[in-house]
Amino acid sequence: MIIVEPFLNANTTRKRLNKMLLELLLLCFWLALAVYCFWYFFLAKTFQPLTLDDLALIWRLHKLQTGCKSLRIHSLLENKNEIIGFKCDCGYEFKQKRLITQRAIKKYNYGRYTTTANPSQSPAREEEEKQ
Amino acid sequence: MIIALHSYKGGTGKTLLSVNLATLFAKMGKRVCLLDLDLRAPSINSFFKNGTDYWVNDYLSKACRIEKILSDCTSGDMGEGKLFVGFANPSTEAIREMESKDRKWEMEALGRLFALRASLLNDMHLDYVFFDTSPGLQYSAVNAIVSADIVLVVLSQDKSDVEGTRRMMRDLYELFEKKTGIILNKIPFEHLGAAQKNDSIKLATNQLPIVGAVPCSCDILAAGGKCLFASEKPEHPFTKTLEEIAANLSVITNYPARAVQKCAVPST
Repeated sequence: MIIVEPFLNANTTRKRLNKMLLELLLLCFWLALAVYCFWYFFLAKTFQPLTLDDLALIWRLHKLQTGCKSLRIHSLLENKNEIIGFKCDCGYEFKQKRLITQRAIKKYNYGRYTTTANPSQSPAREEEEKQ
Repeated sequence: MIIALHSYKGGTGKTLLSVNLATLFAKMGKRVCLLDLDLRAPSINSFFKNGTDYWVNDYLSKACRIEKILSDCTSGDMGEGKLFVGFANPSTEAIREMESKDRKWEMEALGRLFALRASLLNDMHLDYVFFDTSPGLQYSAVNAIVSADIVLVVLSQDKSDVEGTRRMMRDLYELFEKKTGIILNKIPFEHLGAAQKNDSIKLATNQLPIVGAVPCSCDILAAGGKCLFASEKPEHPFTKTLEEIAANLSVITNYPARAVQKCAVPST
């Protein structure tokens, strides 16, 4: 009996320790999941394709805000075969980003010039046809 | 310098003017490139006999480099000048293919046009690049205008053309702050002097500089788009007008770009 008791105590302590570790691990897991979810829903962004209307508006906005005197856009910036931004002649670079969770708009079909060039593709006409 | 010739309506004479202006500048000893960006109705190939294996369509589709599509169309009377021409594919299949391109492709094509500047002006040391664009607000025309330094709008005396040009002025040229000049084309001889002072045109075009008024000529109609007047008929009144336009281009270069008066930027 004298021989077995310390052995039993050690066993119980190890079990408690294991349980504590497991709880700590579980806590860490939930914490990591919460951080990941927060990052995914509120911070993570992806590059979004740029349309000609976006290009005109953002370039003009940049010129107004910075007083840039450039007369032209230097080049367009590409990512995975998509035009996602531009570089002004003054060196300013813009890349269009959006939250992952934000619904992607099929922008290439809704440009100003699209509706002029091909009215049959306009959203207004599609709605009319649906009605 | 990249110059785009554009118009609201078709048949105003963009191709004739761009081909002859490019030839004229080459005759003046400049290194010139002419690109047919009217991908839906290619027509520059009818002026030149040079054959080609690669087209502007291939360059825009990233199928080849810019050097591949350029044909050397320099003639003996050009002296030190050089004329390179990039043709658009005139086959029905190619035109249909261009019609079916989506906006993503058009944006990529715009990126390729921006890249032209480095290739043509810096690497090939060209002095002038002319874009013959398609009429109206088609995406390919908008791309050519956005990537150009100067836009020459070819305008006839037609009322609908003048009004359409005014809309384009507001929605396109001023939006991208392009230096713009007007070429009045097909003006009857008796109206030639008055055309440049025509108040209705000036009002419609927001007082933009008129770089030239091209007289209506039966010789041009009779040539049927086969004659390079700048090269073959240097004494013709049409060629003389082109020389005036070439001289007036420096006026536009020094002219301030017009910006949109009411900017549609939301307040923050």
